[in-house]
Amino acid sequence: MLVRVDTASPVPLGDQVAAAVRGAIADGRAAPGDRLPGARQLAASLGVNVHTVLRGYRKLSEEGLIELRRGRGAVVTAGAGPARADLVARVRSLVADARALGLGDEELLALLRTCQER
Amino acid sequence: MGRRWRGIGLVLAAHGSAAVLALAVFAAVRDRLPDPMATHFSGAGPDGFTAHARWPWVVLGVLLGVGALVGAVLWAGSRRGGLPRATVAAVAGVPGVLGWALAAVPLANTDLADASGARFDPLMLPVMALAGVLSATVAGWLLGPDPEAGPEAAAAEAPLELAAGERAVWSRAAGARSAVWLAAALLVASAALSALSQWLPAAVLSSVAVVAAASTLVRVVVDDRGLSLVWFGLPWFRKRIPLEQIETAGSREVAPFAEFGGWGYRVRPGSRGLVLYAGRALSLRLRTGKEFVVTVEDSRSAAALLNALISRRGTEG
Repeated sequence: MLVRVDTASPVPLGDQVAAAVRGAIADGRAAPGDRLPGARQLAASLGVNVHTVLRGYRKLSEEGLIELRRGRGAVVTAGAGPARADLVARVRSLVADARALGLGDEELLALLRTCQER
Repeated sequence: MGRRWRGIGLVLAAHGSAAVLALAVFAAVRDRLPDPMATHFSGAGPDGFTAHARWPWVVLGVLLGVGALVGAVLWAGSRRGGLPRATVAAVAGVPGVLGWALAAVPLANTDLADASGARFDPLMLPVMALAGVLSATVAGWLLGPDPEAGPEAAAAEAPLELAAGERAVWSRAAGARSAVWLAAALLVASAALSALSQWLPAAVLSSVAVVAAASTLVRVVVDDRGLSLVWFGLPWFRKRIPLEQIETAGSREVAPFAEFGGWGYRVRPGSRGLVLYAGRALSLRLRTGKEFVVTVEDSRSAAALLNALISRRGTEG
């Protein structure tokens, strides 16, 4: 799995780490059950703080793409196939688009709820 | 082709000669043996007995059975590439040990009225080891040296595009996912054997299972320091190839058995590395002119990143 971060980019480094892992799951290079590199190890390789990597991992865990287990590190969850990672990425870009349009977060949620009602 | 069959033939001949030796010793002292004689020894004394009429079949069964099995493995393993001398020698050493062990059984019973008094002479153990070394040496000598053909050079992979401020790391578990299934199957077989009180084969199988499982716990990491092999849970236990020692990186097919004579961390003239399965591997050409290989999936991405890091280092320094 390739993780690249650009220190010149305005995107927070933790988000860049999360995006790289999400991308690897989406294109099948990281499959369910695969263990992610340890946060300390990844941080040392990228020259960033461990907490930055952990922030990225926690985000992925909240998205249901990885599981953080004490002592066992981060593992891609059984249900996290390419389709799911792709969906999460599209939801993220949806949120970004809404904010760019000046739509408040509550407005976006209300809009989503409207779409869910039939 | 000829060399491959000669290697297999030598191994089969070693098993055949061992059987002839063990049977000849038995025939020579048969009149001086109790019937049945003691044929299995544990700490205190004999705990297994076999009638004279059955013993030749036991000898033939063990040696020809092992010989056929080993011959089949060699035949299957050497279809791609050749048969290294070290492999033939190592495999031909086994019937030397087995043959002497089976020859020692009637000797331990000679001139006894009652088989329960038989004792296995511990001095036989160094003799067995010596017979093994001798038969390995003879087989290796008869086969002749390995042909001079270095590993096929891996073409350098096109470097990944890296922006100036960009930092990148590639990381993946080495080995194949099938190793986990292999380990599980071996553990089941080992458990079945220990249920039958076959402790030695059970121990051998379970240790192979542990090695197979452990091999999947190696992580291959490529970053701007170079290549590292890190064992999961043992972060201080690592093998590192610094970036400045790497000339170029590529990806190539590896045949563990034919090229390296087996699986694991292997060292051969001109090439070394972690070889866990047959298939594509990351192949580094080092500044020393030697090769370092690691079998890992998606090795082309790892090679592309390494080449990008190498060229970036070149422009910076």
